[in-house]
Amino acid sequence: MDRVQTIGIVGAGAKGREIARLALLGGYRVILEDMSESRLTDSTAGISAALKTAVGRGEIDARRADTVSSNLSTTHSMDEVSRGADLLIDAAPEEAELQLEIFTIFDKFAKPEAILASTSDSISIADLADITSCTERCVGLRVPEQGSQSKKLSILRGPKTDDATVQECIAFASRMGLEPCVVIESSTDAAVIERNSYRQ
Amino acid sequence: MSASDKIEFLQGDLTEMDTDAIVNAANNDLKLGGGVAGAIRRKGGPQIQAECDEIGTIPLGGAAITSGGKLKARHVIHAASMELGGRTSALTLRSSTAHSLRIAAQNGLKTIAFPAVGTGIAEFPVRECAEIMLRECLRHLDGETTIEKIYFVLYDPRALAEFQEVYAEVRGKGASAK
Repeated sequence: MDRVQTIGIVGAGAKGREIARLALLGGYRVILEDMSESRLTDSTAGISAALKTAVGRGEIDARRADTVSSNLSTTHSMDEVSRGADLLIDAAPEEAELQLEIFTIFDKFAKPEAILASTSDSISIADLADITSCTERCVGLRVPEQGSQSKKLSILRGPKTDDATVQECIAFASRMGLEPCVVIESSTDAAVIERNSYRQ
Repeated sequence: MSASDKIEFLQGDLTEMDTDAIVNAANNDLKLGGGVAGAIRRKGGPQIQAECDEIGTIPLGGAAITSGGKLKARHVIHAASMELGGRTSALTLRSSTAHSLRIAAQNGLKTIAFPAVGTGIAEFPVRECAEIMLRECLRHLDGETTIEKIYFVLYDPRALAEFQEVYAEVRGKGASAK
């Protein structure tokens, strides 16, 4: 257990930033990817500010905050984030075609044992897993929004997600101080892609 | 029929085209992910990806041909304008368009349908895409070829209008104009 040490996050919007913050506080190294330099800068600044606030409130000490900050790196490269992480999390904007493209990239560049996680409701884990060569390591994660009272990390298990992957995600939740909640994705409630819609 | 009469613009779903070939906005690993490639994979069935896997990685800016699987189109020509996780550039778009047309002609195909390659997830600008692709098409049609009709099938009405606008401009200037 705890094979996962580095978290790769694609998308530095509100969702990606919050996952990065929680993962850093959980003691993970984090690689945050975004095409936009300004989103990466904003995210880094936001995380630093949140850490300062936490120090001010006495929730963590200053030395730990420094260590945590130094564990964050940023990149514009999908290749780099995919190669470097043990757990890859797609936190890009909700768009099924984008999620499919990101999982295709994960599948090519990720470490052989890496877990591929989606935070999107736009497409089912089953459909995402299908385009990869590692269906057993594909999973959904639902992280509480920043400022939310919820402390629950929902782990969405697709039809082929294996026990080891679920266990790693449970350990991930625990290290971040969240309560893991495993949900089985059924074909009825899974978001289904609109078959005829696509972007060029 | 002049070269410029052989190009037609339609708004709709590329994967419904009953042509000798449709062109996939591909990466050079020929992995069918999202966007046009995803639509082709879903409608064409697993055979197309299986044939792509047989071919493997091709040079960036190149193209490859497979069957059309369950699509109405007989073939899919995969225009590799980007690397997986990378971006489409003017150079790779021009080269992959030219290669796609050449492969179609080498296979004796008469009708071919293109999307606006690279303008979706890869975020290549539509206007520049239209300029590059249309110039390459006119250049190809100026030479000896089996191609009788090239369709551009745009999903988005704004992209369609932009392609038609650019076409009016480049047709006036001729294919060799910069």
